[in-house]
Amino acid sequence: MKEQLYTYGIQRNLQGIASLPVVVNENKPAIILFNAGVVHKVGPFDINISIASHLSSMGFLVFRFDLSGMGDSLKVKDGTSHQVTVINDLKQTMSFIESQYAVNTFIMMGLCTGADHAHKIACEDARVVGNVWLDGYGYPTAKFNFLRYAPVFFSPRRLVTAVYHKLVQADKLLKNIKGVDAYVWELPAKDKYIHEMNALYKRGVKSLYVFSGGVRDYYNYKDQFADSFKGHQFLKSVEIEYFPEFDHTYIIIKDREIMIKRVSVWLSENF
Amino acid sequence: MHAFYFGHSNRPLYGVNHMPTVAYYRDSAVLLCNSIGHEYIRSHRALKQLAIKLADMGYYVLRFDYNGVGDSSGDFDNVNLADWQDNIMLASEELRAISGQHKITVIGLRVGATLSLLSSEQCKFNSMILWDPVVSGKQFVSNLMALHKQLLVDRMWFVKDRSEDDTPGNEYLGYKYSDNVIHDFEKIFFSAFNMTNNAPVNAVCTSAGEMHDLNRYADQNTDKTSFAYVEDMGNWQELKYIDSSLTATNVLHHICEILK
Repeated sequence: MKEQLYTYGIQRNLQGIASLPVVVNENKPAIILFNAGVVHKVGPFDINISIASHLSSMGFLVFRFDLSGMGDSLKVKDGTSHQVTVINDLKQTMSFIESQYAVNTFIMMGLCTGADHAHKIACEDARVVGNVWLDGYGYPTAKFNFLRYAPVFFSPRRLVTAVYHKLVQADKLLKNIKGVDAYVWELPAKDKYIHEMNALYKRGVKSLYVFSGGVRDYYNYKDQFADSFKGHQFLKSVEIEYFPEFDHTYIIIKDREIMIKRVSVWLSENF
Repeated sequence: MHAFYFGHSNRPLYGVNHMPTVAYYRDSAVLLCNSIGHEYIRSHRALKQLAIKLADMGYYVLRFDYNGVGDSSGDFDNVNLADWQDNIMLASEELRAISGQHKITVIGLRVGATLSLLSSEQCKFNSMILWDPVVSGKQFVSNLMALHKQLLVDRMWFVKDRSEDDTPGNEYLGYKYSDNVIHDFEKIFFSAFNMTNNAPVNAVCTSAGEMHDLNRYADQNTDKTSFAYVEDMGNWQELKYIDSSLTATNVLHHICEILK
């Protein structure tokens, strides 16, 4: 794998690394990876490096970078909110890749907070033609609630423990959440999300959403996404994968490889 | 802050330099040597913050990734400790060249501290700050194995217990260590103090237990060596911290005081 390091952006504050295929095909979308939470561009346990290495060997140009103020990219003190900065960073990154390699379509791939950013930029910028989420948004369904709470209700001892933990967790969450809004995401209202997804569907954007057992607190069976949005047209453009035994960051190398293989298959079939 | 590649063109190292942000330059530059594996990821942000603070104090600072680690070239399971010592040598040469400073203070964290110590003679460091150094390589590996074992059956991580067969060979906490690295670790421990080139050494420890071990392993050292216990995050032996970003305000403050 050949890698090229870049400093770019209007304020030259962004640092990114392009993993290059043997030949860059201008007609193939480039894949963009960025920060998950506060982890720098290598990703949790180097997951972004593994992804970049594998997908570039499939012929995709993969670009992983640090958002402003994270990892090795400098923060721009221009008074804009974190969300606006993220969108600007992603737009600048696409424009930069376009200027260097003449590739003008992109697939955003994000883990956790990265998935949130991936969705937002896809809604804003028509250059985005695909989205890969690793543990992105999940909306509860009746089956989700049953799977989650039934075992607790059928055991009085577990019920007491669950209520206690819920109270402690809620307290901790309230204490910790102040000032960290940049690194957690808020689930969009369902109606808003449906509206956005329908717009992406009309634009031809394709998505692969991968969920792991690490987010079982909000996603706990494979068809939960489909059940949440039954009857909506945009489901045709979304593929779902669910790995209940895997953790949120794919810390086990074998799990990571299986996930990457799934992404590779989706890419081969769609792009 | 500027990222660049340096070293051998066929095995480039990724480095980030921080130029002094004040009008005056110190008469020495600072090289930061991170840890490896999951500890490297945990510490990246803290070392960046340290570099920014030192640049604000007038120091030219270089932080870098070893071959097989982070953004440098190479595969983690295909490197050994000698490679990483060579990397430190190359980084110190690079820092001398780009900063124009001959004197170098090295700040090493965990394995990075131990590797800096082992490289000190060759690299001619002028002073050393060792942050939570790995006192015994053998102990480091056995802690890694113990944490990994805990991980596989921890419900915060997995819905069901995972088998050790899922992580064959020397795979621990997300990284496959080469046989060479494991073998090399068996041989390193802190009496390597003997190898220093008489450069002053400041060791900073965030664990009272490790501090005790450090004192035990360190040879009856000279007045050039000082140890300090600083209450701060480290928790290198606790599973719940393996993926949490290190925040070490007190240690950073302590190091800045040393270099004031």
